Amino acid sequence: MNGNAGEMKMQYIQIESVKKTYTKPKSDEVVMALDGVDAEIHSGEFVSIVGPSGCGKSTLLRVIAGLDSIDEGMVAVQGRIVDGPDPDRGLLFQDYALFPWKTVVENVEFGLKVRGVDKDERGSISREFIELVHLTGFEKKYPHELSGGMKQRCALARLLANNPKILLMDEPLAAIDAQTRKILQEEVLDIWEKEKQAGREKTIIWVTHSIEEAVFLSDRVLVMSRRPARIKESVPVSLARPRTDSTEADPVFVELCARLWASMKEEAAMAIMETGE
Amino acid sequence: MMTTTAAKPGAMERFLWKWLRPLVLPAAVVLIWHLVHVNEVFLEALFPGPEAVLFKFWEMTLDGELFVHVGVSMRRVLLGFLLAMALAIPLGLFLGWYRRAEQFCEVIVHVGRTIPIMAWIPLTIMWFGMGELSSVLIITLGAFFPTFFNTIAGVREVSRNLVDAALNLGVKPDSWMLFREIVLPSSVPLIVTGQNISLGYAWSAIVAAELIFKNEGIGYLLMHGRIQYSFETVILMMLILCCCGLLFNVGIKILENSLSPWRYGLKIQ
Repeated sequence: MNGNAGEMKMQYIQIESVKKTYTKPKSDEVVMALDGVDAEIHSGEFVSIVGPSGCGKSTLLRVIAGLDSIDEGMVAVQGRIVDGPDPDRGLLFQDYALFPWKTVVENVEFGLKVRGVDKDERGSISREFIELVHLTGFEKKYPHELSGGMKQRCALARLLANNPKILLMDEPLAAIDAQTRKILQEEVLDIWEKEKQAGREKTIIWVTHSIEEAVFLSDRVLVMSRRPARIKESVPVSLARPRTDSTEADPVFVELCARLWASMKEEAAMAIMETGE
Repeated sequence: MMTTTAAKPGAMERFLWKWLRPLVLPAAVVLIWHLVHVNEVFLEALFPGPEAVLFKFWEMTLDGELFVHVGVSMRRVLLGFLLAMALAIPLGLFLGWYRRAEQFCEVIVHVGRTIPIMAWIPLTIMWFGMGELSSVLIITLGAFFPTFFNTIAGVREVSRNLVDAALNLGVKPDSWMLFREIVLPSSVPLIVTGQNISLGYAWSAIVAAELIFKNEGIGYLLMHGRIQYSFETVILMMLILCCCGLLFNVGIKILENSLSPWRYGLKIQ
């Protein structure tokens, strides 16, 4: 895992021995969330991170987004150390984090408004992305008037309209029912391809607890250990694209899922024993 | 609405009862009041019946006296309340946003709050006399603190997650943009709650001020009624105060819904 090549040529996203602790509120107990996480991610790559729940996957994404500071180690993007949030590293929040006082279109246009894009251009960009996530007709609705799946699409449109180079996805489909999830997975891949063709190549880091989802979507799957978290394994996915319904019947898919499950099982079992959940 | 509810059998009755049920107890109170009065349990002069209050209302409406005094009180409350809001909201936003500034003001603010509004009345009389200005200032003092503290809390309690989302979309920390787009709208619900409490305080303050200053208004009529042993006037004024309070609360509710329509759905969820 310790890439010697990293010494000479830095990867697009370089994560080196990142350590992070936090203090539990009230109890003053110090918890080690990340204990020397190393990872390298190439430009344009779709990487999933799987691991037992509560292992620090979300924390890692927040660290890459620059929303959480780290105690030791380094995160760099294109050779530049991450020391704060940047619209180029867009995070899709697990609970959507839509602004409740803004309508769908106002939410989607927000990043553009911040950058000072004029009103007409904002309108045409938001129209494009609202259409891309199939929310046309809901522009004037407030978030509380949308279903969970629609909220997630709105959050995705808000993120994409801002045209970040890196998409950090925090269990984006966790709260969505199985059928819709399947459709959204294919839509995400479709959007990813379309954006690439439009000259807006995206690097995606996708956190999930579903091994099948990770294999279905990714070029590579990183397995995280239980807390304090490290990257336990990096497994390339050699399945052809575009991925479709038949992908899941592919023996390679089945074998990869089994292998990843074996790797994760002992971590998950230990995590359950340790936390007593 | 009636037609849709009437579609189900018994729905009509249920609908009627929904509106009638809250009125049962007040009606009973009026009835007992009437019975106590008719049976002369208390002295007639000290315990007028509901008819006497209603008659007083009619009398004062006809000669226009009621409108003059209610109008005066309402104008004072509105002026004092608006002045309080003009001070409390900007100041609360400022102190909520700049924590250091709040630390500077902490002591004086909390000392100021512990002084009861009524205790300000003598000083106000000495400085500003017993006129209009004093009445309005007493109301301003009374209405200031609830909105002020709620505004500070509103700014403080902005969701960390939404701030993170804004930062992630390119908003700079501690920027005007963050304040205007995230902090301000998210604090609206708490500010409105504060305004509701402030209004209650404003009405208490006006009655107290008018009782003492004796310069027109509902409070003045209350005191005047006592002096003249006109108990129907006293009771009528209490009921009028009730109606004024309700009226202003409805006003705030309308303001709230137009300022934050998005909040409407949050409550239902």
